[in-house]
Amino acid sequence: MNDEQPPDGTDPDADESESRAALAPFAASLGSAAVWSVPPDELEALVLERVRAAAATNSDAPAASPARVRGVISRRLLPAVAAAVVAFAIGFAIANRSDDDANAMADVQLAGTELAPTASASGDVVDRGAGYAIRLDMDGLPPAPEGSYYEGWLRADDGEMVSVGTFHMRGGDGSVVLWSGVRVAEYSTLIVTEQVERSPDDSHDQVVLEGEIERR
Amino acid sequence: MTDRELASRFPAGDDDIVRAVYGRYGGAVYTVAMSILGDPTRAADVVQATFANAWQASHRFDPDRELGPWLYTIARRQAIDAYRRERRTEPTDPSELEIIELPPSLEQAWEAWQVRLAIDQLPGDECDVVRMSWFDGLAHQEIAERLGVPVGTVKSRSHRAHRRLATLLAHVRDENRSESSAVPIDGSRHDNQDDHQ
Repeated sequence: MNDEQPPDGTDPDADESESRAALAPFAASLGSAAVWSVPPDELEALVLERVRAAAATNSDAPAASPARVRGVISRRLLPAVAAAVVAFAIGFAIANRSDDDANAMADVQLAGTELAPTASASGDVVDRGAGYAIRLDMDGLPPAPEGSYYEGWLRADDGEMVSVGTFHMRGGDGSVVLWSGVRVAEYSTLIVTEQVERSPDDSHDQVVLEGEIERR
Repeated sequence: MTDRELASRFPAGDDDIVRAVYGRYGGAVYTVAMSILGDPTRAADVVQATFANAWQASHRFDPDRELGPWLYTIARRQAIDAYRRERRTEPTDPSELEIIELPPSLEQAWEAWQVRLAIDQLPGDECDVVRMSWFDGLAHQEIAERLGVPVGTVKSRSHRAHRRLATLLAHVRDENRSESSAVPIDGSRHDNQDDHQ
């Protein structure tokens, strides 16, 4: 070993003192076990396996092809269409629901977390042109306590989250419609959190429902 | 290979690229998981989940962004989720279920990530000296005895290591100085702000 001599003829003790002073703000990290922890040797192989497994799952997944039934309407169907328009005017909700069903691009099944173990929800995601309607039928989710509310979130694989609306469940028949202005296909998970009104804490930690978004 | 090259080739999922990304960031991801969870087994699970999730989301990653902070964000999220899962499975008084705490070490995770990345860039012999000095609390003479080398060698390595480390961490020190402690827990100041809600 030939590195006993101080480099550059400088005083290494003095120079190191200066560097150490510069590192003083990191003393806690430099002294923490986590920073010096060594991953197990086999971890690289396990990571490779997980990525390969994810790749295999993705290749087996059906290609994204949202079912669309809208198309060119031939002239001979115009009377039927006119009738349909009347029916639409009379029963907007029913017709709208039917149209939505045809345009549903994904299904959602949510399971309650430990914060709401008896809760569940099922529904779908509909492309309504101006945005995506996330239609949920809630089951077992109690009304949000006064001063709090529920909030839906889309969550991507990298943890990015986008709010899709709020509700409280203090009335109604359990159906909830949330709205997304971002492409739902780019998010894998839908979660519902309980939030506190006017709280300075804007975290979304209190997850009550969570589930995957299954593209059709 | 540059970060940009790694990021652009990562979505292909080739073993060599995954190994390269792991080689560069695996230690730091493990550090984040350990700093939040403190358990090697669960930290290893988080590392696997982080890279799998990162790969799944990699087609949406903008290669103009830095790969490291993005991986840090995923690792941190995975570790927090693991932390919460563990707490929720513990038998707890129902009234306590209203409060799901964040891990106490969360604020240190970003700094730990940066420090680990810097340490991983040190040559092995310099890294050993820094670890023995800061983590084991040894003096130069004690390090020399433990390594079986002259104390002058230890001083020389220590001098180089500390100078190098101070340089590698200068940007973090400057950020902390200019931005106080407002942001660093999620690394968002390094990310494209459009990616954060």
